[in-house]
Amino acid sequence: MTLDPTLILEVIINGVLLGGILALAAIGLSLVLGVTGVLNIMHGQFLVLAGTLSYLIHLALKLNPIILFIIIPPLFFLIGISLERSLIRPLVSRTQSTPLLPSILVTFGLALIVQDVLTFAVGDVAKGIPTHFPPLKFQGLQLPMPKLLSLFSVLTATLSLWFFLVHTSTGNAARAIIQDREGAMLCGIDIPRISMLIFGIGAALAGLAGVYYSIIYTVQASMGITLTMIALILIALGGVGNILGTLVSGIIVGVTHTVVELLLGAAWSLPVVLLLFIAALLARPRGVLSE
Amino acid sequence: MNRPSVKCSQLILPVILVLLLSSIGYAGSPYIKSLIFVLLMYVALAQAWDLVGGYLGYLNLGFSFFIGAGGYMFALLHKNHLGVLGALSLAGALAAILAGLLSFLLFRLNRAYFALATLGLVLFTESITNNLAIITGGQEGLPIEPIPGSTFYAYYGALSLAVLGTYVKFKVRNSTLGLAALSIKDDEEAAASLGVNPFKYKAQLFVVSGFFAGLMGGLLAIFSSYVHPEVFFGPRITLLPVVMALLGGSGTIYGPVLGATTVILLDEVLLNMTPYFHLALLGSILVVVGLFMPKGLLGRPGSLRRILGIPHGTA
Repeated sequence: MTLDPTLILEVIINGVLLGGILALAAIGLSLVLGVTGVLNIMHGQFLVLAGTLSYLIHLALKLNPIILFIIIPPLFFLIGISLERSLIRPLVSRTQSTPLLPSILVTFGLALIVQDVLTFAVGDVAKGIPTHFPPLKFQGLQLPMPKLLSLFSVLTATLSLWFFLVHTSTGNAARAIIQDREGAMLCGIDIPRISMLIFGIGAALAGLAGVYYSIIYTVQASMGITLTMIALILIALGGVGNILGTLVSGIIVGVTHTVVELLLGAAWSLPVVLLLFIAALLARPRGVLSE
Repeated sequence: MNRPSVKCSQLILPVILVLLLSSIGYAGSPYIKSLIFVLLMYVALAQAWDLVGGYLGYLNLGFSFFIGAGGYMFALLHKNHLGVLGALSLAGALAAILAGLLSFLLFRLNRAYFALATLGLVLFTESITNNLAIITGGQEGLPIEPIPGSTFYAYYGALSLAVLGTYVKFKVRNSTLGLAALSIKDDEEAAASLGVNPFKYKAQLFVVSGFFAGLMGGLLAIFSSYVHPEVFFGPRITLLPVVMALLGGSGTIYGPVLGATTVILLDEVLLNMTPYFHLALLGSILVVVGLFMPKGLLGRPGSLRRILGIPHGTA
């Protein structure tokens, strides 16, 4: 195979874009894990649900896909908040010190319910929104326009999230809880309120990633749990609550995924990424929460 | 050490049950036989899962890795003209060896990440099995040449494993291994500081659990006369043993039996109504157990325990 510059550029753009989108979802999962101590296996299902919803809305109303970015994340913010209020909060308060293991059980159960109901409602087939943008021509290279735009907006979203965490009082409170839960409580930080907010933000981020996914790739009912695992790889590599670290590890995973797909075929990118997941866990045997 | 002995009266019900099940295997209709086979298979699997899940408190979400390893091993060996019993024992042995090797990697992780790593492992194995079509038949699966008396082998094999699994659960509970496991479940660091070697006991239970799963995988391959990634690594067979053990009462001796019976009956009723929502049923049980009854049906003192007449500390 000759190294065609267009091909290399495409692999890089595709890999970085995939990584950026995965990082968005992973940051949501990581904030929830850090602040509430709950490992939300449902997280990938949020993404699939958002993608499917985007597809259905687009199919029904034929709206410009950009409007989806305005509708879906707030909707998932609300879904996240209500899930936290109804199921997660009682679970956390019952299992005071160790919600991690029971939360895996409960959210895994929820993920199965959503997957099954979704399969029943729309079938377990790949769904994507077709877009028609002319490719950008630059010095003889053809660059896919929607991907470039998405790349730009994904990076913007990640940066604004970073700004929120570092430069707002709510963001600082969330980081304080991640660092030292009891200390944060002693400082008068309202942990239940921040937990609810962060759960909402986490779901909204998964929703946002889901919109991107439905536009650039396809979503499928049965891929939710795998997506959660991919998000966990990024957290394991990047560190809980570490936005830039998660973005960088997202780009590593995204490029790996794209390169394997190119060299060995699409069927092999999943096992390689899963192997990476197991390796990432083994590399941090005390769990991703340890620094 | 207090080793409770088994009273004769406690054996009456199990013996009657086993005799009844044996005669069904001889005289039952094909429908009843296959339903009971599935039930017995899941009793055996839930018991084996619970050796690690209930006694050690390590949630193995990739249990079907061993079932599938056993099933595929059996199919490949039988394809190469090895006898049924030879292929079956090698299937069990392979699963036990894999469990032994994996315990070195997996037990370096804490409980939460053990659960995730095992889930990742089975998803990984399923996709590899799908991809390596030359060896495994890929998504087409691998047919097994007809074995004379296959239902007989599978039915009584499953019955023996279900009884043996329950017996092992009982035996282990009242042994040094069981007490060590209990102390590891309660507080691993404290147990280690008092001279219990956590890794040794965790690995032992993991190997026994894997061995049972491998044998059962071989029997399932005999019963269904083909192996397929979805059947042997899919979400159903991965999750059912977990759901059953947790629902019945993880860490109790009869909990997995009760859980398996409940789930199989519910599943069968649901199947008569609709082909959908079977995963959702399992999911709902996980949510309900996780939120409202962390100790399962048998774990609530004074509820089912009293109705069934099982005294405390024995079940």
